[in-house]
Amino acid sequence: MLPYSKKVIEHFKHPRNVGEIKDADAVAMEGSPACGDMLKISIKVNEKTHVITDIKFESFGCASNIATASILTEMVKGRTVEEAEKISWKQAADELGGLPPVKMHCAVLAVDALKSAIEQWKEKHGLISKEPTTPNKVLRKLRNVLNPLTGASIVRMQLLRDFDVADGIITIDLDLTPDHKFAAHISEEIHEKLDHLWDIKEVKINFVGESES
Amino acid sequence: MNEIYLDNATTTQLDPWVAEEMRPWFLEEYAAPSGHFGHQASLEAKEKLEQARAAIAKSINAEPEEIIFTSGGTEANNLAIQGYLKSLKKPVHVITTAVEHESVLNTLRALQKDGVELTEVGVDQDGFVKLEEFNAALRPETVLCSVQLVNQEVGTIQPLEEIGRLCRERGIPLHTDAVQGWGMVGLDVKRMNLALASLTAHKIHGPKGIGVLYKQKDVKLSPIMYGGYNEFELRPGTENLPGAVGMARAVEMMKPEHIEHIDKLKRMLWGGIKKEIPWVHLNGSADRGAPHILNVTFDYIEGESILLRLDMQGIAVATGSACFSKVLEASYVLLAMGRPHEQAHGSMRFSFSRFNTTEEIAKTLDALKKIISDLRKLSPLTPQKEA
Repeated sequence: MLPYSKKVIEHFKHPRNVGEIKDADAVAMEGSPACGDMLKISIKVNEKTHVITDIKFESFGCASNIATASILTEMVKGRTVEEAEKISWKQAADELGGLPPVKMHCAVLAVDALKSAIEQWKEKHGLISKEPTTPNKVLRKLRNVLNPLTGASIVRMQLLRDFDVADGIITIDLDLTPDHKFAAHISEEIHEKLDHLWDIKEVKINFVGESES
Repeated sequence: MNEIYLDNATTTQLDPWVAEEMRPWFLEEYAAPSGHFGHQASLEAKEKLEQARAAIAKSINAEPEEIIFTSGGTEANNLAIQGYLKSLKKPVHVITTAVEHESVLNTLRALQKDGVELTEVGVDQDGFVKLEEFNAALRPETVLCSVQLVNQEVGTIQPLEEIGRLCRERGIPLHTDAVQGWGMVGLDVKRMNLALASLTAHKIHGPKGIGVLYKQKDVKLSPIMYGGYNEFELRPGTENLPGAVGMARAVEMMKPEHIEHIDKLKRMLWGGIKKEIPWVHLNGSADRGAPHILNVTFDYIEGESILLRLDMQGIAVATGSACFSKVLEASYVLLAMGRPHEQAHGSMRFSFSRFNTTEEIAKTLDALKKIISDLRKLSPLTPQKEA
C-alpha cells in the first residue's frame, strides 16, 4: 500500500489549476530543481476586495508536491490574500488527509510559494515594505524546516541549539552530527528558506551534535 | 502485484523450477548437513550441499572449497571486508569506488572510525572507475581493494581484469561485489585475479536469503560472527540447504539465450524512448553495460512522479530521485558520474529478466510516452509546452 491518502492520489492524478496565468499580478517560484522539488505559483488578485480571483501552479516535484500545490490552489481561490496567508502547511496537509512525515516539507514548500506570491503583491501595492531580517524572522523561517524522521519542525524538536544574525550573516548551530542520515537534506532546506533574503550574504550551518559512540 | 515487473535489479521472481528443486529439502530431507560423521539424513544433506557448492564454484571458475555460504550479498560483503581487515593487525589503507553498493561503502565507512584509511576512487561520466586515479591511489600500505562487477543503478561493467592486473602487480588482494552481474556478465575469478567475490541468488531467479563469499584458497579471513564450526569455520549457523540448492539451480538455469532475450528488451525500450520521447539521456555505458539494466533521465520532471504514474498502470520500476530515497538525497551513483542533481532526480531504472516479454516493453513505452508528456505539461521547466 502506498503511504498516501486517497485524496493525495486523486490530486496527483488530476491536479487542479495547472499552468501559468498570462497576466498574473504576482508570480513566485520556490525550491529548485537541484533540491528535487520546485513550485511556481501565479495569482490574480482583485485590487479593491483583495480576493484571489485566479491561481495556477506548475511543479517539478513528486506526488505530494503536486498534490499539496493542487489542494492549496483550491483552498485559496475566492478568498482574500489576508485569509490565504493565514493558511499553515499543517492545514494544507490535513486537507489532503495527512502526509507521511518524510513528505511534510512538500506542504511547507507549497505554502511558502503562496506566501511569497502574496508578499510580492502586497509590496507592489505598497501594503508592506522591505524589512531587515531580524532574529524573529529567521526563527519563523526555521520553524518551517522539518526533520523528515518525524515530520515536525526542527525548532519544535529542539534540534536548533543556537542561531545568530549579524552583518548579513546567519549562523545556525544544529544539535545533529554531520553524518546524521538527514543532515544533507536539512541543511539544503535551511539554505532554501534563508539564502534568498535580500539583506543576507551568507548562511552558515554548524552540525554540533555529539556522536553517540 | 504489478502486471509488468521491470525492477529485476532489485530482486527477481523465483523460478518455479528452482522452487520445485528446493521443495524436498524443506519438507522431506530437512536434516542439517552437519559433517562427515552423522546419521544418514545429515550425510545426504551434506552431499547435496557439496553438490550445490561445486555448481556455484564452477560458474565462476573457482574450487568448491573456495565457496562460503552466507545469508546473501550484504553479509558476503561484510564478511569479505570486515573478516579480511580483522585478520590483519596493523594500520591499513583500503581502496574502493564512489559507486559501490551501500553494503560495501557503509561497511568501510564504519571501519574508518576504527582507524581504517579509505580512498573512494571516482568514476567517469559513464560510471567506469577511473583507472589512473585508481592506480595513483595505490600505496605501500594498501591492503585491500574492493570494486564492483556491475553497477547496481546504471549497469556499467567495471574493467575488473585491468584492475585485477594492477592489484596483482602489487600483491594487493582484490574483492569484488559481483551481486549485480553474476550470471549476467562474465565472472572468472582466476582471469580477474580475484581474492574475494560476493554473490547472491535472488537477482537471478534464486531464493532470497542465500549468498556466497568466494575466498581464494590462500586468502586469510577471520569470522565476523561466532558460533558453531560451519562453512570452514568462517560462517557459523545451520546451513541454509534449500537456499543453497536453489542458488545452484538458479545459476545453472541462466542460459546465453536468456541474456540475448534480456539484451533485446533493453535495446527495444531504449530505442523506443530515444525515438519517441524528447529530452532524454542514457545514464551508463551504451556499449559496455550489463544487459539487464537501463537507466534513463527524463529532463524537466521528477522521478517519483513518473514511478507512481507507471505504478498506477501496473508497471514497476525504480528511480534515483531523492523523493524515493530513504535519506532524501538524489542517487549518489549519478552524482558521482557528474550528473547535475536535477538529472539524478529525474532518472529511472528499468531492469529486465527472462520473464519479461516484448509485449510488456511495448506497453511500457506507450505508458511512458503519455506519462512523460503529461508531467512535462505540469512542469515550470519544460521549454516549449506542447499545445
